[in-house]
Amino acid sequence: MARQSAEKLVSVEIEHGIAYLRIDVKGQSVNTLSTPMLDRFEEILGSLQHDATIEGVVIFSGKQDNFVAGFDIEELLAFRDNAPGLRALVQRGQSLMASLEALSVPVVAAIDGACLGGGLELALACHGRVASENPKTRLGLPEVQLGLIPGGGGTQRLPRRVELSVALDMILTGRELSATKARREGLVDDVVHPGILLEVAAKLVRELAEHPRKDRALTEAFTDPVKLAARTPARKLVFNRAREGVLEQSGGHYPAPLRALDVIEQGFADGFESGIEAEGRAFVELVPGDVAQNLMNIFFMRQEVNSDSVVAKQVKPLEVGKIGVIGAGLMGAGIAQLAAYENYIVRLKDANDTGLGWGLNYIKGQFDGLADRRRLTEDEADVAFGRVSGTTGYSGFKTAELVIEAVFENLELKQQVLAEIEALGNSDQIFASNTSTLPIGQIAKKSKRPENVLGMHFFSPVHKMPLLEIVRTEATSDVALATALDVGRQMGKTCIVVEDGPGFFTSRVIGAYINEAGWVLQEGGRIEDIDQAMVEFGFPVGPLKLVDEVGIDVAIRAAKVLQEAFPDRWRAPESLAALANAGRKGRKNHHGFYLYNGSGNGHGKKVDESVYGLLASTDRRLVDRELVQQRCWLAMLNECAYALDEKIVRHARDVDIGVIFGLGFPPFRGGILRYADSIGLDRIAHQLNQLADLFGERLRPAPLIVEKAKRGQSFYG
Amino acid sequence: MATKTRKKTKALGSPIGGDDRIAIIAGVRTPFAKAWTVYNDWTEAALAREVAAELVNRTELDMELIDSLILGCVSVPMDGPNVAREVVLRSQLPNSIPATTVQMYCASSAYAILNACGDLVSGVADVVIAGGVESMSAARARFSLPLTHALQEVSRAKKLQDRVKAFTSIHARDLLPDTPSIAEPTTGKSMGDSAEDMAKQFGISRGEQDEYTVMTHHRAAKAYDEGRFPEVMNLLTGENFDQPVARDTNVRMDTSLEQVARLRPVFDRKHGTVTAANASPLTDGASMVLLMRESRAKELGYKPMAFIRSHAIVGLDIQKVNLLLGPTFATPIALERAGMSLKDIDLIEMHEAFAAQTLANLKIWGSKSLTKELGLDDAIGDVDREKLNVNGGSVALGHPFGATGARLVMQLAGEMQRRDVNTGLVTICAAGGLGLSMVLER
Repeated sequence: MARQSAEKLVSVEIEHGIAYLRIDVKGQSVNTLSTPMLDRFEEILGSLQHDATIEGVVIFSGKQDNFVAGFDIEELLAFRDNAPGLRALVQRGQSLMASLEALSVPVVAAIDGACLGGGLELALACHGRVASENPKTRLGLPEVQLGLIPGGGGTQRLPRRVELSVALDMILTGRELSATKARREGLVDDVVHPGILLEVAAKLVRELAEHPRKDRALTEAFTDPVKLAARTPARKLVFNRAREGVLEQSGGHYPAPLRALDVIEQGFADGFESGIEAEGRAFVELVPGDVAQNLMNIFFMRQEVNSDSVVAKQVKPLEVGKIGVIGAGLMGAGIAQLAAYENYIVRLKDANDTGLGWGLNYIKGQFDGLADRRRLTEDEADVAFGRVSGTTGYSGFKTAELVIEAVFENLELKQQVLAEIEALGNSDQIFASNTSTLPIGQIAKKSKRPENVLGMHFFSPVHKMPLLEIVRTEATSDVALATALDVGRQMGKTCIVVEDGPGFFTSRVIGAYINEAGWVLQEGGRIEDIDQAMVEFGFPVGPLKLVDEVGIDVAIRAAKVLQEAFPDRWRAPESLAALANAGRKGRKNHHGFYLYNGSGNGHGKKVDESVYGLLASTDRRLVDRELVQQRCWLAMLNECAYALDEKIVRHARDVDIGVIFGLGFPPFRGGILRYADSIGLDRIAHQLNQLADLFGERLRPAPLIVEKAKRGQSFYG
Repeated sequence: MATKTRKKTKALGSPIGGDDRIAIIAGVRTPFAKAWTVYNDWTEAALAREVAAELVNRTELDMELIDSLILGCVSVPMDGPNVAREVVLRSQLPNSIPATTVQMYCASSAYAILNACGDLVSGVADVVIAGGVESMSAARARFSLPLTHALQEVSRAKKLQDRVKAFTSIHARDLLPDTPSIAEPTTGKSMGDSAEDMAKQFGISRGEQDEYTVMTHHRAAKAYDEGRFPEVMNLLTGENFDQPVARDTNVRMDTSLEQVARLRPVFDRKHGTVTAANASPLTDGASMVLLMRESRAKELGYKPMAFIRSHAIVGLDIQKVNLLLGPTFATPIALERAGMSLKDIDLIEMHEAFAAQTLANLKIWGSKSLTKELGLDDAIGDVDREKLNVNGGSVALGHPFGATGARLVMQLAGEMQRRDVNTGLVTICAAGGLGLSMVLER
């Protein structure tokens, strides 16, 4: 060991002519890039350039399971109103990467753990990359998910390293690659056991020192047909197709992927330098934009929610090893599958063999799918499936620390299930109901241990939807709540904690939204117009299609609960009930708003025109899509305001996280309350009053909105 | 109640474990099914993990307390031959449980239970799950040895001509796979041949065998109808888990003597009497019991079904005597160790590999001359048929080689509990001329 220098961010250690740069940001669990980090790298590169004894460089991380997670987003946010400062920062970053690439000795990145955003751009600027076999090793450029594009040369270096189609997929969707996949795509040179990562990286340095790689621009153009295509007029076709794909995916609401495409294309048309310049320009323009600001803000809000302890920190959650799930339908089986996936032992009960078999088949299908997509090996999938055992009785439920019921939405049934569980005699056991509308307090009314009862409202499909709504009653103990939070987070969910009430938070809010869509239908709107309007607004599916997915019967039952809960202001249209009465249940019985007789692509795509015959007025007329959008989202907002006023939800933040991650409210708008704030509550109140005059009193603005508007306040103000 | 039993039988020798006996807490098994039917797509580990999960859930056992899983399996899968360990790794049991797979042919899972007894008595384990599994459906045909060697050579060969050369010594017959067979390696006789020999040597007629067959089916079917198989778990099978299996699929209430009599003998087509009906069928299934010492059961609040009082295993000189005579040789020793004679036994479970084998053994037991001929001191005694295999035996229920032993033990313990009787005998013949008997008490 010749020379050493330690530093807070990057330490340098030189051994046998190779400089080992160890990135380790003290006080953080993950490494991020930042201005001080740029300073430090510039300093190191400066000294290395003038050191003739150095034969090469290895860059690695001192963190467990993390190489570099990207640029510090908090720092980026601060540049919102400082375009010149941002421009300077981006240029510094880009030229740092360039000087790393131009270093006269080879540089190899030894990647163990997450290598994302700026981290991957740093690795791309190196001359070689070795990744570890660690499953936590993921490589990607997730900037678009924050409304940005890579700003450190990633848009130029990645498409020159891997096939254009792969690069576009990664940059435009933020898709991450595993180490093995990265190896297959040529993004990394080797994948090795973490124990020999540095050794292999050093070996690669020496190899590259002896046999430097040929100028890649020259070789790639003539050897790789896809890259060749990208350099010829045919690339126009590739880019046009990608552009169409992006527009279809984003509905045109997200500027970043389109800008990324432009920038990549420019690099191919006018060369690397021109591409880098375009990248920098686009990045600086995107950062202060509404979409990026909203998405970055959601990122922070979500982090806050994920680390919010809610109860006092000294409250220890129960250590849950086994979860009992009652009801093997779509929700119960989904919960069981996710729990097993996350290493919980699961006892699954259904009333009969048919129900249980359906659930086991669903769970097996999910695991098989993970194996097919190579997210798990077949044996890993089998091991996970082996954590689930089924029964039609209650055997094995007593030893579960947590029982989650997902039986039919019927109060008496749920009360009975709770009584049966309590009769098993495990007094510490926590009982969670997955009800979407029934008040938990009513379910627990006859409970012997109401302190152990709460709501864990998962969303469908359970493995995909990121939100978990945890409902506590006045009786719910802190331990029960802490346990539900702990399990929910173990399952990878963002958890909002809400107070008990009919439809708690999310169901009443989505209920108000669907309710309004039902009114538009009743007044003569066409199904496709209503749904298309809300898709254009930014929802992933329209409200009527959503009802088909959830089940018309389920939606009607929820509506009934809400109607009874808020008799003074809630008005349900007859349109939805008319469908339910005709035996339509949506997708599950192939009779809903849409036709489900087609196979594959046609399934559920076309509107079932015969629905109109069930409605009071069979005449259909053109509706103004903007008006539909206003009615539906403002109905939803109004209900959010009621819920906030009734203290069902604790923070505006939880409302926005809830509607985005649970109900599909368009993220680019930053959340429903934030969107309302951006319009101004004064205007919102005015619009709601206008709508109420035209379409019914239910749309009269909630007192909270009126009050805040009067005082010139906002939800976040 | 356990202590009361022991007072009543105080004249007997002391049970295994002395004052702290080996308790059978609970047993669970899959329904047994004819091979290549409902469990066609289930591996040994998949079948057995269902039983393990059901057993720990039914008993609400804290899985961290399990010290060992011992399973019998005769034809172990090539991928994961330690089936017991595969079960641990692929089930909800914690990976920290050591697991062993044992092989004693048809007595394998009974032997697994004896292993557990040893561990519990010596104090190296407090809580053990023992049992077994067999899936004939999952057993694979193998390449012949010459073909296997040739393929090895090919994988090592570097040049094409070497690869071709590797196959030159292969004959057409080598291309046929070795299918798993149930023949005795040293005598070359199949189990069926041995049963035929027994029938002929001891004069067991076709009619007796068929009558016995019908009886064991009827007993099994009745026992199901009257709820005497609580240890049999419900299993959801089929590609979509939509075909529940709740009973052993071989059992038939509607079997009649006429039907059974119509079948042709299988092993000796000309002069034979052993048919597909009066022999146990090739079967898939898994079974397990939970074992611990009496004191531990008390601590954990379990009420034992029965205790293991004594056992014996024997090897026969199969060049001289029929290899299915294990029960005849093992039972007197187990009884002696228990300090009992056959008349002290309230219930008997004898493994029915074949009706002929069961009837021949029983005939010998009651005969002074036959036992003498076999070199035993005395007759064992006449068996009251109302005490024997009262809920049906292997001919009806099926015989998954690795799982039958534990099936017999849980079936006997359960019936002893239901009838509130004190003593029981399990006795099993196994290939290789092996025999195993076990005396249970309450």
